[in-house]
Amino acid sequence: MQKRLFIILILFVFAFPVLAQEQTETPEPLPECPIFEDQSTEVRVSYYMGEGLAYLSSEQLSAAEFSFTCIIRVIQPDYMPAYMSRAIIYTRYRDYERAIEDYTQALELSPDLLPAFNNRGILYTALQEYEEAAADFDKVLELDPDYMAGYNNRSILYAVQGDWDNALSTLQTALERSGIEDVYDQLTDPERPSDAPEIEYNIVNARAYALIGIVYSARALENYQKYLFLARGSADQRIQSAAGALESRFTFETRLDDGTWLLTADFSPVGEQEDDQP
Amino acid sequence: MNKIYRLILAMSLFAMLSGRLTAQVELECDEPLIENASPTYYIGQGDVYFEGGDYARAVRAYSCALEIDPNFASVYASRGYAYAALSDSENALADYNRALELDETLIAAYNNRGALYTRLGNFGLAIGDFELVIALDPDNAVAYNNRGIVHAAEQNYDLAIADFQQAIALDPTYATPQASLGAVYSALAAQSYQNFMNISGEEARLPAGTPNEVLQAVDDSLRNGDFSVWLPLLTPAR
Repeated sequence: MQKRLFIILILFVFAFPVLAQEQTETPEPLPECPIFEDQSTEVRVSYYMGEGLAYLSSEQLSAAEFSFTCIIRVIQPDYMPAYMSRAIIYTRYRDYERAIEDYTQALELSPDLLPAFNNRGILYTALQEYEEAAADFDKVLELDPDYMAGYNNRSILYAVQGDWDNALSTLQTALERSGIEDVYDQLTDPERPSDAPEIEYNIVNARAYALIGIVYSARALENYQKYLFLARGSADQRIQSAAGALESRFTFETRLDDGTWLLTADFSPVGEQEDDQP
Repeated sequence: MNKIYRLILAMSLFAMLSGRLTAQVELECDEPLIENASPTYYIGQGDVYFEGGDYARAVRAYSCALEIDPNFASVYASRGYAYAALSDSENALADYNRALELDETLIAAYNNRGALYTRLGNFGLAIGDFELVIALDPDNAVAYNNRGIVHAAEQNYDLAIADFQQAIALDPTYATPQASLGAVYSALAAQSYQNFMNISGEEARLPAGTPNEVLQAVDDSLRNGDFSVWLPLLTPAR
């Protein structure tokens, strides 16, 4: 009797997921991807990558999505760059959940793919899933402690959560590691001869200074607000206007939501880690 | 107050995500964005530009594919058509000939070269190319349509009608030969009205008005002998 029950239980356990699958899953039909159908996987993958990236560069997003989906669903499901590329399209659609899914897939195929962590971290930040975002950005810096955009992103995440101290120390590390402090010192050295050779540096590395400035401004405002709160009606007029100016700056000029440089994503399909020049 | 800054910073993320994502996928010939790209990478690009009517860019992309594999016959056929669309007949013809040197059974090259010869008014050579396509692929509806266009341009309307009907029989979902057939009937109508007018004079009455009025209603361009009216009905092959 017991044995029979056991068998029934086993059967139930095995049968249940199958039943559940049949009830919930309505698989989309496979796309038709006939070009160079009789040729090697490599030839076909190359074709659809070229096609998809060209569609993407001409803003034909749904056509591009179709090209990458051809690779993912029909030609070579373990081809990482197709996931990285399709994630860009989902990001453009603001379908962040699906973009995250594609980055996660890419990471299953290439577990050390820095841009996938970085870009997924940005998406988690946008979705206010800060713990996941922090884990991704931390992983970025673990993979490449010299990836300056990673410091910027990590510090922005700290700032978004109101953790000014960590935001500042992260940016300070970026300044030191990138060598941009040294560049600044050299360029502003009064002893520097006028015919000294030009110093080459990446402008992205200078962003840390701007971010530090923003964090200090936010912190200044926070302190002004505390003072104004406690001083009530008898607050110093000058502090009131300083706070007002800062507040309006945070509402307008330093909103930084024109998206030119605050968070830096890497959108090359294989993760070139190129620096993002404005 | 912190909440406001958080919101501001979070908003900046959204804006960032929607901005300038395409800058990084700038396409360059010597540097594909994927590793181990085969020449088909550039063909994929070329086909997109071709489809979008950006023929100059399509030529460049196909050229990139040929730089890697100079013996990729079908790419010459595609690039040739892009050259033809840019009115560069010389390069177009050179590409078609090169494609056929590499693969003498390449239907797209015969078809597109036939279309080019038609444009250039070399009707005999055009018919020869379309007939090669038919010899290689007797069910090729496009070749019948295109050969019919050459016949129509030469005012051999009976032969044209037979070709269009054959194209329709081979592929009833192929729309162009229906239009081609309609155009031939219009041309025949124009021809007959012209004959009527020649015999009866311009003032003779028809049920729908004077012959001139009726002719204008048919399609004025079909009776002036300019064969270019037929060219939009040629179908390219890819």
